[in-house]
Amino acid sequence: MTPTRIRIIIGVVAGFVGVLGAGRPAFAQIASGSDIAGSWMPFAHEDFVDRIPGPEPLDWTGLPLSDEGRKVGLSYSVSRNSTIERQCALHPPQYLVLGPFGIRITAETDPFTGATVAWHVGAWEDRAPTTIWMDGRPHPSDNAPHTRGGFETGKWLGNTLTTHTTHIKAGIIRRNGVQVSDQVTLTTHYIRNGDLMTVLMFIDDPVNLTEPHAISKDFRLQQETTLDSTGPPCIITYEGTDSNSVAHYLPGKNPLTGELFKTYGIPREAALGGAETMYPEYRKKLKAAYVRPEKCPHNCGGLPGGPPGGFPGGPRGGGPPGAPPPPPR
Amino acid sequence: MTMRAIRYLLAVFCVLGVAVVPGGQQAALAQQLDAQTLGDGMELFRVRSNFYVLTGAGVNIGIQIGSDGVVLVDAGDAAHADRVIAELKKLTPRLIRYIINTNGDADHVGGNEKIAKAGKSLVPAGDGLATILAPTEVTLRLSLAGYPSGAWPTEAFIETLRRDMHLNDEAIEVLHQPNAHTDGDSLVFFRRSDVLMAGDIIDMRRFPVIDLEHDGSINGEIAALNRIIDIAIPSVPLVSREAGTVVVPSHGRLLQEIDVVEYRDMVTVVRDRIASLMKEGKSLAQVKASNPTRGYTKRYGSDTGSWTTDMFVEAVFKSLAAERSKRR
Repeated sequence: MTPTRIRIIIGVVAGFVGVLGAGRPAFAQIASGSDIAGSWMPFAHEDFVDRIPGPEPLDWTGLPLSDEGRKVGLSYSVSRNSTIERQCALHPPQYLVLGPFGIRITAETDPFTGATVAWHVGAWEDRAPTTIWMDGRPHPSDNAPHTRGGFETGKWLGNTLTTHTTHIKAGIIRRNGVQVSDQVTLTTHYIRNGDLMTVLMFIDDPVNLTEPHAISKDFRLQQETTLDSTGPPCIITYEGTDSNSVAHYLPGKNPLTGELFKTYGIPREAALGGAETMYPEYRKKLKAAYVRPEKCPHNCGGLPGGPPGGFPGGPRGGGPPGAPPPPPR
Repeated sequence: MTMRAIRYLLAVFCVLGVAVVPGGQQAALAQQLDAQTLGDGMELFRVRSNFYVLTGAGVNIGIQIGSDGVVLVDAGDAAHADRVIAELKKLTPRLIRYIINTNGDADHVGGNEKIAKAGKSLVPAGDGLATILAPTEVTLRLSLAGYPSGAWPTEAFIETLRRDMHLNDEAIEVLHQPNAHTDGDSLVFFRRSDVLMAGDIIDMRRFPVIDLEHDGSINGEIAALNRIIDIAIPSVPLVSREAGTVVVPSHGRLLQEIDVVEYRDMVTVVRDRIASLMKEGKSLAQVKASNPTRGYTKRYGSDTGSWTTDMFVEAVFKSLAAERSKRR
């Protein structure tokens, strides 16, 4: 992604949050800028399919995958997650924006100066806690361990806390197996306005991506609820997959490569991602190859069994399974 | 105590407090102590209260310190031996008692002779220098390679695949992994410290070196990786903690179990791809042409240097072919 596009995205998101926040009554506003502590709940409808039921297998549309990243994804079998050694392996810190959950942020202050030394972003279910160091400490050396939460340092730029995360373990970039390598780094912007906060993340992996992948997630500050800052314990159990087995598909043998075409008429070349598929111009190219299915079988914009057009407060859209899909834009 | 005295004491306390332990700086200092940069590309990590890892001396060297003395895992290369001794002296006045070699490669054993001379054996026999411990395969290799006898293991084990010790208040298991990277690989597990020295079974810089000349094999390599995974324990059930067994490869960063799982998966996937192509009757040239390391080449592969992607593929192919011909 080009720097200009990155600047545009940050500007648009910051503006969007500002517009939303401007409508709030003055008494609900919290002094702007430098306090992100609190319990923050996400908007469930935002990127609903990716974050709640989970995306279709091999739906990598809009991911700037390199050829290497695509190959790793194509060999992935979901059975791998059932091995003893993977069951309690948490997702890496980018799961903060990829996953469905809220976050609780607390401040660590210097007892003498009162300055914020660090922000602690609490864990949730399947994501480790992260500490955002604000005291200017350097990042560890290349030989230091990569941790589940990564090593994150931050700086305020106006009302936006911008952080840089390194020392991250290999892990998912979308919730269907496609992943980034242990060379991944994150640039994250925590943009707060009143009781709204947008977390805008740029995921950069020189191995499995050709450009940074930008993804944002919006949160609302909870006034009366406090989220936990640790996830529940994880108990490992036998799930039918032997330890030390590595489930994977050999090249050309992944049976799911045509799934997105069968279900939604999306051509394989678009389903397998690539930087080109991130940009609006790609729709023109895709138009000729897109075959609109007669019926939308699932993930049509609402919860199964929910009211037509989606569920209250949820996504707009095509209604229950079997409803005609929305016309292509 | 008068109010004036209380105010005075509070003021003194505050001044001292600010000067000595401002919260953030204290945390930063702790982190710096955990990893000291020593210069010349060397670093010292304090992994546990009595366990350190010295990097940049050819290989990552494990250092366990206690009342019994110093136990080293690998000696590093010959060029760094004096420096390693100097760094150990800075770290502790205790004597070096053991050097455990995880294999017989030059970057693991090159410092054996000098460092052993700087130490003293716990066993009152032989030359009295620090004991060098390794499987007999390492002794054989060093003697054949023309190393001076002072570099050879003085305590070689053959009788079992495991040599046990209890030093510095903890059990130490030296686990021979036959036919992995070479025929003389060992894992060294410090039970109380919960640190596993993995040798060249894992090389985070590249695909694992399968040294066929010294009886390494791809299936032995995968068996060794699986053994590491079996031994290492992550932070469960309390997954929110950054804890668990520390796995130290000879090259590259310190690891936890899941990092080894990722590496094992990569090696296994590549092995399976090559095995599948061989089953189809493909030749080595055809296997190479099919790019069986796809997906992992950019992270672990190289077209130059002492261990290229091409060499790795060839080693896996030949290793599998040798096993097939043995079975026939």
